[in-house]
Amino acid sequence: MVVLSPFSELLAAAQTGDEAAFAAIFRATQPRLLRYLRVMSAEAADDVAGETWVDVAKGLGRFRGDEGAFRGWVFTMARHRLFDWQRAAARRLADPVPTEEMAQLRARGDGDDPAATTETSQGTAEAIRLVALLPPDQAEVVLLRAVAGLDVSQVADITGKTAGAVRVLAHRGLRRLAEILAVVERTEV
Amino acid sequence: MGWFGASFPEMPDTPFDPLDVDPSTTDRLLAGLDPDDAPSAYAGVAQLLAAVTAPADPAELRGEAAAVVAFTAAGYGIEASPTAPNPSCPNPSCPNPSWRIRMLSNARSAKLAAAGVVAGLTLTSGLAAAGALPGPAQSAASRTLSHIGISVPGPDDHANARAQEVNDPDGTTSTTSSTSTTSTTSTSTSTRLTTEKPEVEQEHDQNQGPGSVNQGPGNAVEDQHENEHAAEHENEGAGEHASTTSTTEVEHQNGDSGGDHHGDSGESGGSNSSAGSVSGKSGGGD
Repeated sequence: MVVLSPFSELLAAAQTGDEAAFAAIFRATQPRLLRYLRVMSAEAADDVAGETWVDVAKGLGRFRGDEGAFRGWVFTMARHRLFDWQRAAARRLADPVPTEEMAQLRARGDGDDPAATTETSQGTAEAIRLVALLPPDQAEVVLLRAVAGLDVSQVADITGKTAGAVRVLAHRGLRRLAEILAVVERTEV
Repeated sequence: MGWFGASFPEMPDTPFDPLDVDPSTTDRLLAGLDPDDAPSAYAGVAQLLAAVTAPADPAELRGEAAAVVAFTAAGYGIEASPTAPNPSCPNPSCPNPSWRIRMLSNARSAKLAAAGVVAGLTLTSGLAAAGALPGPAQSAASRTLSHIGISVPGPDDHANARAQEVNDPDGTTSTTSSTSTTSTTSTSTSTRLTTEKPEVEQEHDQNQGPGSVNQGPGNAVEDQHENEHAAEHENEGAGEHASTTSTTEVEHQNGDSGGDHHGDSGESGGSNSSAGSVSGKSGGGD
């Protein structure tokens, strides 16, 4: 007799059109996805997360795999969507933005510090702000390992790096975080 | 000096680095090591990682309703198949939404294909009416269209008209500035004009097997080649390239026109020297 894990049951139910099961999968995945995206690109996080869930909704029926594979699938799509967003943003930067539109953006507070605008709890927001101080490749590997819960080979597949490079980046990222925290402690004292 | 007179090298001065941790500790930290169990230098890192992976804040789940709507709109992400159930319609007669999307896209593809066929027929008829098709294609089009009561000039009419153009020096330069396709047509026609017409037709008849079979697809490939060349030339805007293309076209055509011309480039060049001159004119015109 095969005992299904809760995630397997949720996935199976969602794949037959159970909206409650899909919502449960969303609740289990979205916070970590949003935190990853906020470190990678604070201003794009909400938009990219939304687009990623549209992709998930479209492709869920074809997905086959366990919870780890599902997270890898979701974060891979999010990463692609993030690159699309960044390319589009680069094009927008190349085009002159009308002065009035720029003033409206400033009035809405777009582009502010992510830690100031984030609505996560204080500790999580501060942690996100500190991880965002890492070099982008180190931050991404640390987040994919720690936040997304992916193993080295999955992270290597997603980022297009070797497993060795992923290990080195994770090690350096944690070391750098420890150094940053030491500086923060000294400053506070 | 060490024990028993042995000398030992100086130990390197390597101070203990509290941030140096082994790979397994790194892995455990990333997997959510308790701050109390972490090396003292990494206790803060362990706390930070715990904060990053803390339970969801309600604000982070605001997009749930929108995600469910997307899930519904996407047909519940159910793989399109005739047997896949449709959750919004338990009746087996209801089509699956995804399946319906696929059917719509098939209908769209059929429309596109039909439009392509109509466009192709229109283009071919237009070229045939203008007498701009290569000889065999022109005669085939003339025969086919005559069955439905449309009068189209045959290849001979076309050749006679072209002969007048070649004899008229002003006419020659005026025909060279169009696309490569028309350039090929004029070149092949001119080649036929400069040799004795009945012999060329005989050659075609003799080489009916491979020659005529090659003619069709060969020309199609050439057209594609020439279009690519034409695009390049349009981008580069250089007249020199145009003359090179014309020469290449003539060589291709010689290759296609008959087995005798294959392999003996000297003979081919000699017999078609007039073709070379025509292509030279074309290049010069550009």
